[in-house]
Amino acid sequence: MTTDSETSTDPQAGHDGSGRTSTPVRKLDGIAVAGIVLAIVVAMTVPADKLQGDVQRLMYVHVPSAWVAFLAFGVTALSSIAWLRTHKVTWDTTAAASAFVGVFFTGTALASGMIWGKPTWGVFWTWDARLVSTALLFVIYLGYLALRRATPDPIDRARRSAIMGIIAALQVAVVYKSVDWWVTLHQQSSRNSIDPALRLSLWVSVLAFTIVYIGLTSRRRALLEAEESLRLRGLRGSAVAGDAISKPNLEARSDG
Amino acid sequence: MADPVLAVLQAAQIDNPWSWVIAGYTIVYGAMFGLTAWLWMRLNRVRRQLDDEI
Repeated sequence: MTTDSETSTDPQAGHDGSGRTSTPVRKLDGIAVAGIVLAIVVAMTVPADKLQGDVQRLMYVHVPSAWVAFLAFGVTALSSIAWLRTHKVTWDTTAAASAFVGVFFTGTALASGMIWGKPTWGVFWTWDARLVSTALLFVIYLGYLALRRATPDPIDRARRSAIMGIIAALQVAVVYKSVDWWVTLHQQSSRNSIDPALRLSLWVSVLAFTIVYIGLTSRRRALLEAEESLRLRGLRGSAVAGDAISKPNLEARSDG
Repeated sequence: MADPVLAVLQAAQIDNPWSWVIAGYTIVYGAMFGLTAWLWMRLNRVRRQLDDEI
């Protein structure tokens, strides 16, 4: 069994040590920006939906946001299992970084869904099973991040959050199946009946958002590792027991 | 007006579907680029602190 101190973390990973981003990370950033530009261009130029009209174009940010949130929480759960098996700190930081990005994309999925809901349903919010379960997912993973902040010991933090990361993933399944399990205003999956041009636009957006997820998660992970390195350096320079233990007076003993 | 949100929307004359599309895209992509910039700035600051302490 290894501990945090036994597992090395490199806060400079993906960087050249001068504060500048290294070539692979810059390449990923470039691909992400190109993907987003392409996704926006395709989303704005594909034909409008026959029933919903132009408002349906919001699906090209709403669906990818929800997909990336599911992916992020899946990665959190798998990384949590990996930490419980190996106790390697890299799995803990991956789980935390992915959960952080997942919460962000759950927020954008909720926001874009509400903006779509107003012109389509006539309301920003309704107590629909899909909407409520997604809001609950958002709150559960906010709780996951709060649990991490509230636990100062790295091993306790990793253990508690790993257990929560695995249990919380069950809510992802509830959100996904909510439109089948309950009678909902939110539509069921339409991936098999969607027009090919609209499907292509959706896939381009999903791909672009997935690349952005990888970039954001790797940055968040690097930040967590750098902050931990900074914290450990601060601990090394300070006394363990502070003023509670006074320096032994060895000179007095030699005099006697 | 019973619905204050509707009153604001009507006052702003937001009845064009493109207004909703632009609002949604601005919020989602704006938040995405905002988060990227925040992470980038914070990471650079922490790295500078680490470099200063060496």
